[in-house]
Amino acid sequence: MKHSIIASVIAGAASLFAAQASAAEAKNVIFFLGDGMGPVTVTSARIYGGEKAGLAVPETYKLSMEQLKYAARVRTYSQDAQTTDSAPGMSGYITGVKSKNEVISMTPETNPNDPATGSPYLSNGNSTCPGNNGAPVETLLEIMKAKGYGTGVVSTTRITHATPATAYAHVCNRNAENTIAAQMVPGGAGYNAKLGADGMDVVLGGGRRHFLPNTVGGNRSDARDLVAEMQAAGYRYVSTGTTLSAVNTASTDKLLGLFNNSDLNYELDRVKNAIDEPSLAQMTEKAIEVLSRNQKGYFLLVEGGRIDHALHGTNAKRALEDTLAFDAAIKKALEKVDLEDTLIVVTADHDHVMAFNGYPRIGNPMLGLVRDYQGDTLVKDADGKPYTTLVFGNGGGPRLASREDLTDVDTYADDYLQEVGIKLGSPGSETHGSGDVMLFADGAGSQRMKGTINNIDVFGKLKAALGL
Amino acid sequence: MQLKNLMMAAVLATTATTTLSAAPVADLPDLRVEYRGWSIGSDGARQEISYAERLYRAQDQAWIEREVPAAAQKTHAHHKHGGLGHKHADVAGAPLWVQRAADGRLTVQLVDRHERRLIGIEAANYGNVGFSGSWPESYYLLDPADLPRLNAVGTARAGVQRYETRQGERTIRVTWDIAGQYAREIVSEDPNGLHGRTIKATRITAPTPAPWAQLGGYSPRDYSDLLD
Repeated sequence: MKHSIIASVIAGAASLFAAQASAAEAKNVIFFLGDGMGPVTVTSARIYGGEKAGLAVPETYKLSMEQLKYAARVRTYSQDAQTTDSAPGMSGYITGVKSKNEVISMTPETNPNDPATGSPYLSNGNSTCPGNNGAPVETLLEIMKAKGYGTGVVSTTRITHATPATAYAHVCNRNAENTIAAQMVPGGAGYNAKLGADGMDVVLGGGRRHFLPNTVGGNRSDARDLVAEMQAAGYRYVSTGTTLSAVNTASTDKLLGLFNNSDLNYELDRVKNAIDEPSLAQMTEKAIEVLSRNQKGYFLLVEGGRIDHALHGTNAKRALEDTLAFDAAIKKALEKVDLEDTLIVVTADHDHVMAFNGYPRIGNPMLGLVRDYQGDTLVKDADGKPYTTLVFGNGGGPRLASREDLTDVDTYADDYLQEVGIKLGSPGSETHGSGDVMLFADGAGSQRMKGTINNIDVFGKLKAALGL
Repeated sequence: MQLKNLMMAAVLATTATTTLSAAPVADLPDLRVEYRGWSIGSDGARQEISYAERLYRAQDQAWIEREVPAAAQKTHAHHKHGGLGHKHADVAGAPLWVQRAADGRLTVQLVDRHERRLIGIEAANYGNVGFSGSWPESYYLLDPADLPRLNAVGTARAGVQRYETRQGERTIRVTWDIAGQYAREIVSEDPNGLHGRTIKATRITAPTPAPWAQLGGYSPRDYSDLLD
């Protein structure tokens, strides 16, 4: 009898917790997406960050993302591929639905290419998707917009690139970036009505070319000037880091920043060459300030998009510098928000094929040659040549008769490209990987983010945290 | 780093890092450049790689085009890219067009004949297309400003001056065509005969019209379009 009383108390408590779970815990959600930021990239960025911080044992360094309380392991496969690309990778998180590679926030059967011919549904950046090819799937940003939350997207890539596009657009082929741009312009032809009467509140990134006519350096063949249309719709427009800094967010409700015709520069080059583009941390800070004006709460997607690009080029240094810049944006967000009412999630859409070689000693330079942990001597391959810690399983590297002798090569040079296993030929052709990625979370409702989960599960967990 | 860039790096490592370039010379010869590298591993297996490129030179522009046998060129019948496609772009060995402005700034473009695209390459991505970033290395095969820091072997004869230098155990020999302003031959060998690299350039006649005059209708794209 005593046992059944305890059982009923436990059952009651469980139902109480269930009731709490359906109530809103989080007022705000900030979703950080490190494009292509697989576990090896996180670990190597940690050690590289420790080196830059001057730690005696750089392996002990902790990234900001690693200081979040909860962690999970996430499966990333898409509807039709073990190895996803960024389109279904992010679509899964923000819609809760698997889609095929190259498809932006559409139902699973949607095809990016004509199945009969293989031709993409695309013409010079414009969608040619037929009307009977799948249907849009509602995104978390759209759901929250409909309920009065503030909404925003921030990226170091073109803001029309796959990851940010999944939040506010629906199209069968990710390369239809002119079409994607039109979907964010309130009231314009092709506008996504799910973004409400006034559209998103904050849009910061690159990709100006998809907003401007081809007569003035853009890619649009329809003669539309979407920057002007956005301004007419009430957006404050900025195009440099300096002008973004000058924006008074206390009086800004709508903010559009397009800082490059294409992607923003890599962080390494932005800093080294003093390019007047904002850092991801600066963009994140401004976005939070604008969105915080909405008393209901907000959803913000922040993408560190060029981590992926540097990895495609097998340039580990730029990838790690961009990962640290991404981490700095997370740090900035943690300084700006109250975790009592804000949920912060950090994850990646997919892995890459970068790998560690063994067995470097503690403190071995992350971009350097492997020096043995026992004898502090260069570790060599069967032909007597040393090798770097970081290498890639495949990539578009050079074709050599044999491995280069790296003994006198500066593997810390900005433009040094790591060696690759399988030679794929074309530049930038290193592939994504299929391994699970990591997810870190903290703040209101973050306790759900644990275990080994599927990327589409995250959508439900975010909604639950918001009580939606 | 491509085989040719490895060779340049080896030569440059023996000299100061001066980036002075020779004054532009009109009517410099166009070249066919053969690259060859070989190595004998600890298992006794000899591996060898070789390829050739055509280098067309005009005032402040260079066109570098790999020779790819027709049978080795990929067919694209089953791929149609629709203009801005980022995937399946097969531009390995595609021509590289390098232009130099009056202020020395370079414009580097990859020529995608299949898709009729001119893919702009920013400096951060030079390595990915096999471009060292050095105008004189691309234009003369060896920066003429570095020649005085090599050891001249004898005096100039029959239009060439020979040079020699050492880098570690390796010996590097250069045969410089004085009038043509290019390295006829660069040879790098180790003393044990385990590996070596050579660059050999011969004069050719450039096509008419020049390849860069045959780009009408090509659309501008940038490197990031190749990524996903």
